[in-house]
Amino acid sequence: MTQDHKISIILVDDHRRVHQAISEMIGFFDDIELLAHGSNGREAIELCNRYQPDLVLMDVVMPIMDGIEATKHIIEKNPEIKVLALSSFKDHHTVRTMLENGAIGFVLKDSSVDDLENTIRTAYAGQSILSPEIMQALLETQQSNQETNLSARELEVLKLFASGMTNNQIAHTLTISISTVKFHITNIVEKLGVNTRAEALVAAAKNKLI
Amino acid sequence: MDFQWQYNHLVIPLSISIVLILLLIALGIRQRHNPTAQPFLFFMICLLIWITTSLLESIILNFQLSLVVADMSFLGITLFPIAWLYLIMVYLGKSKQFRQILPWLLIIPILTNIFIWTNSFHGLWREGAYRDLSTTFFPISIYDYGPWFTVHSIFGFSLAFIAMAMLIRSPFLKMKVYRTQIIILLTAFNLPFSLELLHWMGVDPIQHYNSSILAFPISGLLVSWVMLHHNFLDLMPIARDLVVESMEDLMLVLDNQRRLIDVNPAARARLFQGKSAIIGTSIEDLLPDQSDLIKRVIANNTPHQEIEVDDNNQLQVFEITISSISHPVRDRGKEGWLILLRDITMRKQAEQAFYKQLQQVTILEERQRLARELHDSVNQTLFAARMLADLLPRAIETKPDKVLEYALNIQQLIHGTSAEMRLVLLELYPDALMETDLGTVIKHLCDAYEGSTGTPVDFHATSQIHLEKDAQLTFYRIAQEALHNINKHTEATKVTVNLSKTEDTVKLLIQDNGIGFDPNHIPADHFGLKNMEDRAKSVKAKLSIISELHCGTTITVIGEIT
Repeated sequence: MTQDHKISIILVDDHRRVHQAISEMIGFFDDIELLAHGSNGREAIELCNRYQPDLVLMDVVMPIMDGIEATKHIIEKNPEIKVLALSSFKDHHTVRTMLENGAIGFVLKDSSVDDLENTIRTAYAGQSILSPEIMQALLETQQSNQETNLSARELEVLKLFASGMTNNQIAHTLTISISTVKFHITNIVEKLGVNTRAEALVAAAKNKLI
Repeated sequence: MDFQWQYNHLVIPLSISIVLILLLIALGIRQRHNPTAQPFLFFMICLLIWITTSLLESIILNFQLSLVVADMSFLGITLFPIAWLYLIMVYLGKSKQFRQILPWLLIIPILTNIFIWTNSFHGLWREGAYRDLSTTFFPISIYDYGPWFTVHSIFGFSLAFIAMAMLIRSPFLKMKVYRTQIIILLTAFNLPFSLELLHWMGVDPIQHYNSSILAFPISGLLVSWVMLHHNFLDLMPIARDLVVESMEDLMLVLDNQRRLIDVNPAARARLFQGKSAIIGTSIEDLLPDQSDLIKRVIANNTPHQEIEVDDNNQLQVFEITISSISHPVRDRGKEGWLILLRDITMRKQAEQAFYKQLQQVTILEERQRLARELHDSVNQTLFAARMLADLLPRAIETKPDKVLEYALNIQQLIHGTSAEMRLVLLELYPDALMETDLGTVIKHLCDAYEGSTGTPVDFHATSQIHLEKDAQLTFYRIAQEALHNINKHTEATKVTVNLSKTEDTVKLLIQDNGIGFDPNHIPADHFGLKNMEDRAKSVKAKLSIISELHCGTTITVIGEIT
């Protein structure tokens, strides 16, 4: 830790109280300074371009542009900036895409001040620390699609069907025969474990397939 | 009478005809389930009588006996044109009409046969007869016919002409599937028919001999070929009629005055309770409840509509299709309308059940989404509280002036989270939301707002306000929406929420000191305002939103206590 260089940080979070608390926290460390804060992904990109910070504390779920996309843009343009994800979501998808898009670490919003300080310093040094919970999330296999196991074509038919199209219209849209459409729908009904087309739609809605 | 016979040159061709006819009869019997089989067999039996008696007539040596046989042949000959007409009309799907005219058609043939057998009393049929044995090939009986023979001939030829005209003018001749069989059928019939006509007019290839009979072997072969190769009896235009008769969809045909001129059994049973005397009645009288819709569909030419019909005291939903009919050959404009009704009651019921389920899923999802959002907000607020709590000991050491501020913030955050937790429960269990005092519920909203934004809310409420279920929910949602908007769009630093009640009204006022908006230019993404209005309208509450740029916004909802 050198006295002449402070760790410069940009904080991006749409929650006012989180802003407030983290800036208070940073105020306790002489070698860390908060350059600016934004409340969505687009602001994050602008602030990074303007301030060239050492590190970005990036929330994931935000309006206008989320942290996942913002991270991708920032890392592409400024690979030397370190993005540290800060989120209360620790699901497989969020964690994985954040890390894939170039985030160096992932801090949960239930960490203590000490943990957060530590992670910031480690990330600044170019290393990443993942808490056991985050490791767990990374190891989880993606489940939703395996449960239903619908083929891409079946999903397509299901979506058109859900949009209110008749067999005829679906056949026309996908340029396949009506009997093929019926065949797909029979398979869909079977794979979703229901008895009628209407139930299939409800099941699909529940499983967020449509 | 002695029965002596002698071979002549007619035996071979006529025997061939007889064999062919028997073969065709056998084929017809095998396909007796086809609707045309009956007229076809009738036709063939007439022909069989005709040819067999002609053969017998020519080989019998006794002239008197041959005359009796010749008289018998007219049993077949007189019925032959009727059989031909019958065949054609059934082929064209007009068997009903044929049955209607049949008694009239039979008058002349019956009279003819009576006159033949009673000829000795009046001579109307035949004035004399002799046999020309001079020809080398076969004996020719020459008859001197009476006036009734002319009547008989004209009648027979007319029927044959009419039948042919019907076949030629029928739209089926234009259809490729039927064209070949119709042309062959016409040829087969026309060959003997033309010879017969020539004979009648006195032009005979063999003098005095009615040679039409010699054309029958060729005709028989042609008809056999049509039957075997073109599936004459199987592949009939009549099949269309059968489809209409047996289909589940209801079919009505109206003439251009909207009178019912045809109806299939399904429609008769389901729309008219099986009543029979409905043909010719106007549709307005038959279906008074639906006639407006039918008229509208006809007038606007809208092809598909749904129609509700009382089918034997059960309300059924049909999809109605109306298309105008014009004659396929004659172009005389609209001749009427074809109405098809397809029963979609089951589909409707399934759809309704489905939408109901989907609606429930949507409501459930919406509730879960709100709960999730609240929960997420709880997380954020708790995280902030935890951070500040962690900083407290350090602040006591290094920044004592911050301690009180942190403590107050922590207090506010904890209040907020606890209010948010209550709101999560209320979202997940809406019954609880209905039962809780409205003031308490809105206080939770205010506490949660303070907690998550840090903006103070000045809240006052008259206690114990209970509204009717939907109104309670509406007030809650409007307050929620309003606070959400204030947080998102107004940059307000102070919010006032006031809930008060008079004897018969409840008034909710939400005021902020934020940037406000120009009421004439509400940004397109402010769905919230429209939502609030819709919600208020649905429970007949009065909503007013007053705002001016940079002067804050005031929202008032007034609902009646019922």
